Formats: sequence, structure tokens, C-alpha cells
Amino acid sequence: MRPKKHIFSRLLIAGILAVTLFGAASLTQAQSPLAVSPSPAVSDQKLKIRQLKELFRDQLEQYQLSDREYQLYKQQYKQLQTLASLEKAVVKAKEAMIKRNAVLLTYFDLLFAQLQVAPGVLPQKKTELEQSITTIVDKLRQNQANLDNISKKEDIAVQADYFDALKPEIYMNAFAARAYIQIGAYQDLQDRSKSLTAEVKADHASQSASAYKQSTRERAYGETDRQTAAVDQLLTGTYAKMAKAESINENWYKNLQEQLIALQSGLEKLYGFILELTTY
Amino acid sequence: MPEIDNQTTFTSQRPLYEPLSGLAPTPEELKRQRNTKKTLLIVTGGFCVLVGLILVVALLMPQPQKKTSVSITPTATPVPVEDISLRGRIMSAQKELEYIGQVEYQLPLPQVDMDIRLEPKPQ
Repeated sequence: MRPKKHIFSRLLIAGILAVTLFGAASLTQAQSPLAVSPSPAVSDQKLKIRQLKELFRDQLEQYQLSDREYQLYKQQYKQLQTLASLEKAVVKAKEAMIKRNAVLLTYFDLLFAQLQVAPGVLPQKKTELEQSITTIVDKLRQNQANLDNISKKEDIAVQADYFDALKPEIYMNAFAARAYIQIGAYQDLQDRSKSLTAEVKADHASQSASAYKQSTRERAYGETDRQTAAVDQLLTGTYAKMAKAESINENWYKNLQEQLIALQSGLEKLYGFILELTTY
Repeated sequence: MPEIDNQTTFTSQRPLYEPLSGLAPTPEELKRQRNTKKTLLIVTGGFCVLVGLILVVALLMPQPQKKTSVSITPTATPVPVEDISLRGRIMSAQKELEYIGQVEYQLPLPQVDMDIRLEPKPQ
């Protein structure tokens, strides 16, 4: 009776331990793919981007508010033409200029940070854009220093002229960086679509399938490959258009958007196909 | 023949024999040891079963997706960073694609064409 009891209790403990270990092992196994987290440097950069976006939003609101106040006091000065109204208008104009400059500085800091982690942008192009942004940021910092010294109506005019001269460069940098970040993101998704398609095909190849199923798969592969080629062609066309650009401004960016919209829908269709392929 | 002192023998408060080290344990002690073992087994077993159950339940529960919000407005769609399965990765890429198409991703440039000056610009 006693040995039997011993065997039973030992088996019970062994069973419990086995269940526990199995549970722990399964949990570890299930969690391991999630452990592929971005590197600390990338996480830091993403945190920085989030903070800059918050700052940008706040500064943009402040600038818009300040701009409305400036418009109001400018109107008052025009109507009243008094020294007091001029004084107030100068103060409000200075404030609006300072806030516009601050929001632009944050905007370029944000673009710079986004470029650093942007996927799909060629390193050479990235460096080129970063250098260009650094130059405009330096000029905006100089403008900020000048704005602090404004005290009279004439100073406002001088600073307005300085800023006017900066505008083309501001547009060029902003639109070029935005365009390359956007097309880079599409390029990255296109690259990933190819590896995902290959994975789906490999997964299919590892399973046995009837002749009918196989022929259905082949037709679906053909359609997916054609869509991949179409997106590749759209990307090539967009790069060519970007390379040919003589001047980068708002109109150029708006025209480019048409091609980017086509890329967006092309990729949406492609990813729809790939997802569908997994059910074949 | 000496007379047996029943009174003394059977009413004594002393145990019949006292266990000494190296001698077999008393039945009470054996019972106590068995009870202790049983309790220990139940406690250990219960703990292990509980831990095992927690782990199994945790395994069966759907894993929450890690998300990174990259929005400038509260309505922006967060972009899932990673997923485990092939289908999950495809769907994650689809969501990223959806987000790229949104205005927030494109980060509009603040209005800079506003001419801040108090006198008209000399032509």
C-alpha cells in the first residue's frame, strides 16, 4: 500500500511540474516574436518625434492666435493712425513674427528627426536633405536673433523683407523632405510586399494541394506579380519626376500628390491581394 | 508471585515508551508526519496548478498589440509596429499604408505666405 502511495504522489508532482513547465515554455515561445522591438536609438527618435509634434501643434496654435491679433491691431492702426495704435501694432507684428519663426524652427526640427528614421530613403538623398534643412534652420535662427531686436515700424519692414527672401528656401526644404519621406514610406512598403509575397508562396509550397487548388494559386500569383510590377513602375515614374524638378514649391508638391495617390491605391490593391493569397 | 499494581501501570501519565533517536517513530508521530507530507503536497500541488493555469490562460488570451501613436491630433490612427503571424504582418502593413495616406502623416507646413508688415511693400 505504501509504495503505491509514493508512486502516486511522485507521479502527481511530476505531472504538475510538467504542466507548469509546458505553460511557461509555451508562454515564452508565444512571446518571443513580440520581442523584436525597435532599437533604443529608434525608440528615442520616435519619442523625440512625438514630443516635437506636440510642440509643433501648440506653437502653431499660438502663431495662429498671434497672427489674428496682429491683423486686428494693424487694422486699428490703419484706421486710427495714432501713436498708441502704432505702438500696439508694432508689438503684435513682432510677436507674430517671433511665433511664426518658432513654429517653423520646430517644423524643420521635426522633419529632420523624421528623415533620420524614414525608411526607404536612399542614404545619400537623406544626407543631402538633412544638410539642406540644417542650412535653413541656421537662417531661421539668425532671423530669430534679429526679431528680438525689433523696436520700430522700420525694423518690421526690414525683417519682413528678410523673411520674404527665405520663403522659397523654406518651401523647397519642406516640400522636398515631405515628398521623400512619403515616397520612402511607399518604397519600404513595396519592398516588404515582395518579401511577404515570397513568404506566402513558400508557405503554400510547404503544403500539399490538389491540381485545381494549385492552378488557382498560380493564377493568383500571376495577378499579384502583375500588380507588384505596376507599383514598381509607378515608383520609378515618381522618382523620375522628382529628379527632373527644376524648382520645388507648393505646385510641384501638389502635382506630385497625384502620383503619390496612384501609388497609395496601387499598394492598397497589392496588399489586398497578398492578404487574400494567405487564404488560398 | 508479586502482586500486580494495576492502578499504577494503567493510570500512569507517562507514555508507554518514549521515542529515542534512532528508534522507530511512534504511531502518532507517523500520523503527524503523514499529515504534514499530505499538507505540503496539497499546498505545493495547488500552487503549481495555479501557476500552470495562469500561464495557460495567459497563453490563450489574445496578445495586446504594441502600438505607437504618431499623431499630432487625438483622432490620428496609431500605427502598429509589429505583429507575429504572416497575416498579422500583412494587416499591419495595410494599416501603415492607410496612415501614410492621411493628412497628419504629411505634416502640413504652417502658413508662411502671410506678409507681416505695417506698411505696404515698396514696389
